Amino acid sequence: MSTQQDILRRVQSVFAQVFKDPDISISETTAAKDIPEWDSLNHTILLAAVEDHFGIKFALKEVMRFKNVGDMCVVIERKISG
Amino acid sequence: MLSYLIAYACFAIVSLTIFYLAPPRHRWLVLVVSGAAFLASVGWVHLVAALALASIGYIAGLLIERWPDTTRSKVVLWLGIALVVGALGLCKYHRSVEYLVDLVTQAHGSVSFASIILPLGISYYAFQVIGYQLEVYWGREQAERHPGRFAASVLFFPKLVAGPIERPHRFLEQLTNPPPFAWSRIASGLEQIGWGLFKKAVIADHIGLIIDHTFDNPTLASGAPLFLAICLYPVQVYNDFSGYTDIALGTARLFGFELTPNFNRPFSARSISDFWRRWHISLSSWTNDYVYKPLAFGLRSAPAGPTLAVLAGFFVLGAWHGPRLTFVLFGLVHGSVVAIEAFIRRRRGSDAAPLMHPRIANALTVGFYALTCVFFRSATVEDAGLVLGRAVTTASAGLHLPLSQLFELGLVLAILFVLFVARRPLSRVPLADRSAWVRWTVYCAIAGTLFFLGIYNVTEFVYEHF
Repeated sequence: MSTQQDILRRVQSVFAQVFKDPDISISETTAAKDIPEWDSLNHTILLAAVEDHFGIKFALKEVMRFKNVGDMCVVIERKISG
Repeated sequence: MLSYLIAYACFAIVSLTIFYLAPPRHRWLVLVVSGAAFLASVGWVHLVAALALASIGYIAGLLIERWPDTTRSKVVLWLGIALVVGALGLCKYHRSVEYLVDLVTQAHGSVSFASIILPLGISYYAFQVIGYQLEVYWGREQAERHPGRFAASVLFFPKLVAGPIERPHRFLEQLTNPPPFAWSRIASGLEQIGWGLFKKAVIADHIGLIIDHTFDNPTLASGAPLFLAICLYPVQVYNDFSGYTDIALGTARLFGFELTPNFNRPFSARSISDFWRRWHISLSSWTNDYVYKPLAFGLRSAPAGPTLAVLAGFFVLGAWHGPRLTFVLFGLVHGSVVAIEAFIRRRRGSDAAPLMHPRIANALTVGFYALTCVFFRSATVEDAGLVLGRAVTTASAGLHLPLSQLFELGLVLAILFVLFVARRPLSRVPLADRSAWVRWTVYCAIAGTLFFLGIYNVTEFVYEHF
């Protein structure tokens, strides 16, 4: 499994935990508009949960540029490899 | 109001003619000149203020982009925001500054900014310029290099009086890629303008005749008139502000621009969170994107971080309306409820059954908004308390309205009833998709109502004051 796919799988597990939906399925193009519960509050909780899971810290600028899950995964890969 | 409308219509027609006669690459100039003329007609200080803040935003955007991801860009960003906020604060909140200075010095009138006037539309374009700088700083949008085009995004006259708070890049993209001319767009724009006029001159201003004196003299009113005023004020302010917004959006559409809608059936909301996704959307989304989200992220590790961020966002939303404690309280009360709703949603989970029947949730939401509107409408907290207190304690007093106001009340209720009945068929098939005879029947009905029932001696919109 490629690093990006592994990261996506792990991010999906975080999504399942935050949105309390073990069957949730996401892709790189998944965005807030695709998940009804993904409101502003859950967005913040999600970011914190992703940071805890991967042991990284996002910068505000990075977070503000996320348009979808794929953008988040790119930054995660950069941080865990860097 | 009538002479204002005629002047506005003449101004719009002249501007539109020149706009469409001008080569597309020069249309920004027409928008700048028309916006400048619009502001100058009110007073030169209004034009100077708009040009000053536009210049700050334009220069800051270029410098931020020139030094990406550096401390210098951060300094420019904060300086740019500070200058805009400072200008807005000086023009709008100087009374609060006077009060604080008096409090500190224990003297009265130690400093006075009485001669400072509030430039037309500054609350709206100041937030627009702040949002623009943040978007460029975050790298989500590119800085606009053409000063004239940027000025056009600030000075576009349909949105100057009372917004919407436009996202500059949304406007600039439309300026770059204008849609081809279409008579259907002109018809749609005129229809929306007519509808906005109807809301303002027929509904909002008639309600004003019934209830304005009640809020202005709370000690003289009692029982049923107070209760009526509390119930009708949200309807008045909605029709006044959404009526203005319709006129602004309709006029913008004549030029080929789609501005941000400000309303999405707010009285169908089933929670306060939902309400603020439907009411004054350009402001609530602005505070959500530029106050709540950055703060919530920054405070994400703190247990009450997101809650504090919600309260901060709604503090800004309330205070944006003006230097009155009632506005701030209005914002904080709504923010508190939104925070509580978020907590309950999170605890119960997304698949939990609704807490109550949707119609009850809707009634409670609208009722809550109506009650908090008393603070919004009242000049002081004491007046708001007086209105709410007397509405309860003198409830046994009857609805003793003069005959003229009873007529107004009957008229307003009849119009609202007709609109309520018509909303469902119109939501299934919009008016634009109906047959010509249905459309023209409605147009004639609106025109006739405007002619015979419209009030034209109220010259201002409520949100023009903010």
